[in-house]
Amino acid sequence: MVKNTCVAAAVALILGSAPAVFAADGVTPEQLLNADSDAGNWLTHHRDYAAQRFSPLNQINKDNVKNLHVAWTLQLGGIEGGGIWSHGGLEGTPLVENGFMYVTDGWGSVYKIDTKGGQAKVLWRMDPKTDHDWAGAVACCGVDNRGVALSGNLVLSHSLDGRLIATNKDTGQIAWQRQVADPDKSEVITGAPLVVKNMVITGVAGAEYGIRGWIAATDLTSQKEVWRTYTIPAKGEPGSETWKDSNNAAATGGGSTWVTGSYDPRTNTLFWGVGNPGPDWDSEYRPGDNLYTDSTLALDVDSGKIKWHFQHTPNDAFDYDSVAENVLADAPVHGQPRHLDLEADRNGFAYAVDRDNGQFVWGLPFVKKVTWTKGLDPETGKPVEYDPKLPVQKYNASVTPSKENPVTMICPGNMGGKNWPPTAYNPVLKQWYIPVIESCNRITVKPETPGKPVGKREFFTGGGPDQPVRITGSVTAIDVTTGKEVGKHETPFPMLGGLLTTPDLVFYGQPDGKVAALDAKTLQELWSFNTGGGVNAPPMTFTSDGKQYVAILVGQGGAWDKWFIESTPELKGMPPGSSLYVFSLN
Amino acid sequence: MMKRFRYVSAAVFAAMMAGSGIARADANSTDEGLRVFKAANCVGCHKWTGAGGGGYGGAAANLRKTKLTLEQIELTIRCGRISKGMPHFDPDAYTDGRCYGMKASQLEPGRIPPEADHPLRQADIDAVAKYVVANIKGQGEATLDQCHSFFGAGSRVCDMYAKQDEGGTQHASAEQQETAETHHHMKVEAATDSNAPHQDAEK
Ligand code: HEC
Repeated sequence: MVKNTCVAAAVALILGSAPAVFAADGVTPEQLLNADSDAGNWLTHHRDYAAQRFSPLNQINKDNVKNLHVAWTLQLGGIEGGGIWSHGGLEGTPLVENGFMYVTDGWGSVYKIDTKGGQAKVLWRMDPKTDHDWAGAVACCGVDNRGVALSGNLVLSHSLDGRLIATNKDTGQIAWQRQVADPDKSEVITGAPLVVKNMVITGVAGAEYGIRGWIAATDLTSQKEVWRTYTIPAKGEPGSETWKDSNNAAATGGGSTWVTGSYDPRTNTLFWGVGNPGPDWDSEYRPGDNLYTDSTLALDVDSGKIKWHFQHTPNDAFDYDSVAENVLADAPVHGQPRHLDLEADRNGFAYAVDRDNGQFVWGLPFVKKVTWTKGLDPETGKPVEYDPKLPVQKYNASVTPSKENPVTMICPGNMGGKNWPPTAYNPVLKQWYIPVIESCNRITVKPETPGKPVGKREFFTGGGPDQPVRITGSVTAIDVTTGKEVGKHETPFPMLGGLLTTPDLVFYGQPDGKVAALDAKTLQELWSFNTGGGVNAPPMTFTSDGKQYVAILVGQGGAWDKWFIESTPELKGMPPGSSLYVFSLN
Repeated sequence: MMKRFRYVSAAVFAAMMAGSGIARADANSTDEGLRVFKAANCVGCHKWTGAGGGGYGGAAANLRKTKLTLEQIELTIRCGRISKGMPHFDPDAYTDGRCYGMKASQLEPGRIPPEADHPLRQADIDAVAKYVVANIKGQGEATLDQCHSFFGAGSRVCDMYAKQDEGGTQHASAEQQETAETHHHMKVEAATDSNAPHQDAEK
């Protein structure tokens, strides 16, 4: 793997001052299909189509990681507020192609950084001039942007105000852009785009504001939308029977899709997580299972047609999104080879389903405390209390928010479990690492009025959370061959940034500024460094001039400091920031 | 669209200054109050309209419907509300009994109002209290004019009021602005629903 990179470096040397020759070739569909074995690069959001966030690089390993130190840092922009937000933050995963890094800030500026020679040189910044007031007023959970996608000579990115933007990789000029989401309908975009074949795929946020969610594919040549799959079926479509009310609750049924999905070329299938139903905490407003909220969707990538779905929390009353990456892993389970789809849900359970048909394989709680259900049915994977005949599910009725039980503590709390921060899967160890929010919080139900028009660009949540108790975190390891927990490394703060794994290490960041590396087998801490800014983004790794680096964006964004800070009192007053940290050995 | 990197730090600096609550002596009090209303992030809880509302962050009061006098509003901003989500913008509010005769030591931890993220000087508190009385209190439903005087015309945030007020002539005033970006008028052209039964595809 290191050899490949050396060849690339040598070629670069020969070409000398003409890096454009490289860039003009661009990232091909074949490169994206083989991104997992392209050791020195990180070409797509979750590193590969299987969303494993596993890098084979091992120059930095468990024997020498203690010597890791800051190689360089870079200050970025996008810290300003807008709408209801007082500042932006960084949740992105940097991409790297042949030593050139692409990162975004919270308002969607894209930066191209030359990392060669052991230092950072910003080659260009594309500022999409995001409409702060229009978008920031209806962004449920912060001013965030999770990064770019690469295709040919284009850098694809989203803006919070609903655009898909294609930027020329060499010049930083916008080549074309199109409006995909409509902030007038409270639709905004925070997720990174995913390029598959000649398409770029977009997910949407807004289920706290009564959107009807979707996933959309744009053709890179025609720049036109080729399909749009709604996550809430229209009347007459399969699944519409799971909206049993007579007030058309489905029209504002939620189902956001703001975490980038995964893709299996073997079956031509796209896997994507779907968020909560709206209103979040008033499940009586929308009797029925509320498909496809809180589900994993498997789609035909060419047509957007739904192949199968797996719903985790039918008729959700907790805000237990399944907006999560689906990790594709091939591993034997109890001796049987399986094509798995792994998902760590906000509801506190980790799931493996057969990704060829959506059949449940195993599930287990990955948090220390679950109170809303006694557990999963071992056959179906549904919560044991789930009764398909009930219009409104009660689960553990003494915990579940409802009109009769309007103020209630739920565990996990509504942030999860696990939120958007990505898991990482180590195919060598067959271990899957989950960045956990070990939490409970209190929900107060304020029922919405059925039949009353939903306020335009107004919250539509049926209540809200508050934080009477401390929230902590962990990195929890699961052996996918058994579906059993094999380790838990507890952390003082919740995991708000996500994970990276290499052959023998796991990297993470914490909202108090700490970045750390754990032994992938024992989860023992081997190294740490405090960046001095809240870490709210996943680490990644790459090589430049043949040398391995670990990069992470630093700058607390999201909703934590606005709505969850009481659960982590030490983080009060932590100033926002916007910077990039890059580490290396010596 | 392309921007050299050295401007970035200036933009960050400007954003930080905007949040720092430094008063400009020459501005008139409505401008000053509006500036504080934005900079102290009253918008974050009460929205630009002041109408507040429930949802995620708990219910911030509807300032359009407030019955409070100027003095009471000033007091509420300075001292916050005991046991409620309204923060105190005087950083020393609970040090010496100046607020409701209470010191932090006399209040159970859960009852002390939250500290404001953007503490204000007395002149700023006065300005924003006046702004609430003059521009928000008793104003009824928000209008396009009010939206434009809050945001200027460079944002699409007021479009929804334009549609209400003028029956569909959106962007009317934005058109006059030469600041309009190329993307200002872009509309979503969605593909038809992939899962619709074949003939009657949903629009
Ligand atoms: C963190 C959220 C938050 C912020 C920021 C905030 N408020 Fe409030 N405000 C509230 C809440 C919640 C209430 C209702 C308190 C209650 O229930 O009594 C409130 C109440 C008020 C009231 C009392 C209204 C009434 O009729 O009782 C006024 C006046 C007010 N806010 C003005 C402001 C101003 C001006 C600012 C900015 C300088 C501001 N607020 C910033 C949350 C906030």
